[in-house]
Amino acid sequence: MAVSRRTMMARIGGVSGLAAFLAACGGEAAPAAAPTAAAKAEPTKAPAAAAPTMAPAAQPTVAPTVAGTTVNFDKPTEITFWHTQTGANLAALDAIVAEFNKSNGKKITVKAETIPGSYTGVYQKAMAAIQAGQTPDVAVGYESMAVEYMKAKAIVALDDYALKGGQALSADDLKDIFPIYIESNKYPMFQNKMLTFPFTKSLAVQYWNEDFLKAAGVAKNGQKGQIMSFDDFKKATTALTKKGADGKASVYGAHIKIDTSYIDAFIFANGGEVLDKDQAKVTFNQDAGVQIFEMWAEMVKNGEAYENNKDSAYQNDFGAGKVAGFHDTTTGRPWVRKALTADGKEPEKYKWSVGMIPQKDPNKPISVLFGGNVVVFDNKDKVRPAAGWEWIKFFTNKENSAVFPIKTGYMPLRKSAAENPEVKANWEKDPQGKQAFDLSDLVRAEPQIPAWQDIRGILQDALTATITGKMTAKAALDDAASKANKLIEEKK
Amino acid sequence: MVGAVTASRQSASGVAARPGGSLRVLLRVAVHGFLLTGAITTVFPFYWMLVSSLKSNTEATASPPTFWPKALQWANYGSAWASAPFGRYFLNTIIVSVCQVVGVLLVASLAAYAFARMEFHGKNAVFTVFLATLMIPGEVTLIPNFVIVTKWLGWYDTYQAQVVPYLGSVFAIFLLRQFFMSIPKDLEDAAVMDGCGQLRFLWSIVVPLSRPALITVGLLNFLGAWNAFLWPLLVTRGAAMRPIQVGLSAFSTDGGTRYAELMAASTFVILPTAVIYLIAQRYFVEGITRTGLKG
Repeated sequence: MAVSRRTMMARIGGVSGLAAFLAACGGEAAPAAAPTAAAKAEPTKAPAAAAPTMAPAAQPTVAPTVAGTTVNFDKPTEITFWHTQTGANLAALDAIVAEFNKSNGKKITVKAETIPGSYTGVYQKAMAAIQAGQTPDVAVGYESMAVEYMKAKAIVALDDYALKGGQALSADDLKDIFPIYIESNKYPMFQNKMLTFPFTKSLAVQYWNEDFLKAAGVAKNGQKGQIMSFDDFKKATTALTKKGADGKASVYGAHIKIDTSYIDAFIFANGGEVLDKDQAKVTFNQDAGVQIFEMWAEMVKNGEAYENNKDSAYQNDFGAGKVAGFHDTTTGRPWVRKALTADGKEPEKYKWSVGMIPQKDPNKPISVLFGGNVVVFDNKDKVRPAAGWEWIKFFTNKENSAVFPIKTGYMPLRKSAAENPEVKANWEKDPQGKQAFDLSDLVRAEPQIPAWQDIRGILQDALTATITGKMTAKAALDDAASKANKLIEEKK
Repeated sequence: MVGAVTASRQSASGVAARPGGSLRVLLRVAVHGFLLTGAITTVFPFYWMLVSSLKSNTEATASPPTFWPKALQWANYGSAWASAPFGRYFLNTIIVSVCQVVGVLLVASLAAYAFARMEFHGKNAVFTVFLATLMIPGEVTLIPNFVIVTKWLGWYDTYQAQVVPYLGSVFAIFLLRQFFMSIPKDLEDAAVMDGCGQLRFLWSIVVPLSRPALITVGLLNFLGAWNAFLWPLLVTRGAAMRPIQVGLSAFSTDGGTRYAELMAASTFVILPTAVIYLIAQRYFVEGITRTGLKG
């Protein structure tokens, strides 16, 4: 039994199976009925004198009639924080945790717990913890995970912490944070409440070998003012491809990443949408999506593009000069640099850059923002969620939100990062970091509906079927759309 | 079973005695070719893990792949070991695996003895219910188990949370029952006539005779405990209680995977199980064969 059960456990992997089971266990989803922190906010009973660590003038202790939460941290509060960071990233995060524990002045202690490298692991652990009533206080997660947590009534809306009340972000903070980083954490299916806050964000961008661009006479590289149209991109890919006597490419013009985030990004860039306005039907099988799939299929057919996705092997191909350009996450920069320098042992083999993916209208460029967010669990206590928000606020303050990305490759959340001396010094060594940062206001979020996690796989299969010639772009996307619409209906 | 083997040998001898040497050679080549293919298929992943563990990260994912490292990167083992508290993970895994093996052997041999050799009302019905639980997917019991272990028993972040849920192993009970049933009734009758009780008979006669089956059960459970990932991840808080498989996740990040170091860590993680398997494989094969099970 033990072996058999473990085998079964090992097969779980799929987030959806667990979610479906939990949905069955947890009764009907009633997102609209989910209590908000505002509804439960009560005036604090503690007298002002009992909160010596707070400045009374700056932080009113009672907010009985307005939305927003104000809490006195008059007793020591320990909160748990689940994340996925490992290695050097973990060291950078632990340093910020230690600094917060030392300096927050509110007797809050964060206990960070690593669920190494796996958002799925966090989700599985969190869903089990919800059933047992033993959730952490703060956890990292994607949008689809936050939706499931909210359906289980397990997390608080952050509007009442981040935007209202005594702990709210200041007007300067809100002006400083790129608007999309706030807006992408509001959920239309939950009355536009802010269920998550940005944590480790990345952008979908295009990497180019600058030496190859120059040699092929390609002038544009995707940076502001140099953004390619799709026609430019097709011509560039043809010009950059080098073929041997056997007709096979020795250098490919482009690599195609089989990943739905990039499919979404290219469809948005082509003026399309992947979901209708009511979020009830997918639209990726309309012209904008079909054109993107046809473009990639044509490039593969012509021997100008290829896919080598396993273990991000295309990054090594780029380092070896076997491909001139590829789309990928901004967080891949350190890995690309390693590939270009034989793991840091040699100087960079080629000049390279990070720019915007090609666009239908280069004057209105758009790509995708993705990556991890954080949620705050509702632990039936006023203080703990408030303490959780204090930690998030500290992690995303001007200093930390600028310096953590230097050590990890994630994107700075704030415009002021550009003025940070450490960031500026780092951009001398990592000019691609600056190039990526300059694209921060040209992105949008992917769909947040619960079914999207499963739809991702369907869309990826459709792309594989198209570029391998098994199906036409239209047939593959129509088939994917039919399956996706069924999933949306099932997971309403 | 022994009869079948003898018949098979006789049949093989018969083929050898017949004329037509070239056909025999052809058959041997085909059989050996088949076996060789199986052996290569089995060994190749281990070979690939070893050579990848000695490549640079860039070379480890290079396309086309290299079948031998350009330069041996022994440092991968050091950096892999330093990437996570592997010493602690090893200790935790050894504690959990040993406790689980001892516990399962104890519980399963007692239960199997009852089902195999004792008569009581509803025995077959109870055994059928036991077997039916094998059909329940792990996904279904995952959350209830978690609630029982962490909420009711308060065992979050403990060794017992990783051991106790596995002690009632129906598969182990089934396997041992099959083996215990093959022990001749005459032995039991003789022992009873000499004044031997049930427990004494189990301990002094059945257990020594069932060594292959017990080793098989122990080995399967050890492998299961050593390779456990999801359940320990759910019921533990941090490195102090987590097993070794969780440590292997330390090499993945949002930007990419440190593949060569992951392979180095995989090598030292599977080494103990590989050694134990090699030592115990004779008993393992015997245990599986005599209980009529096939892997």
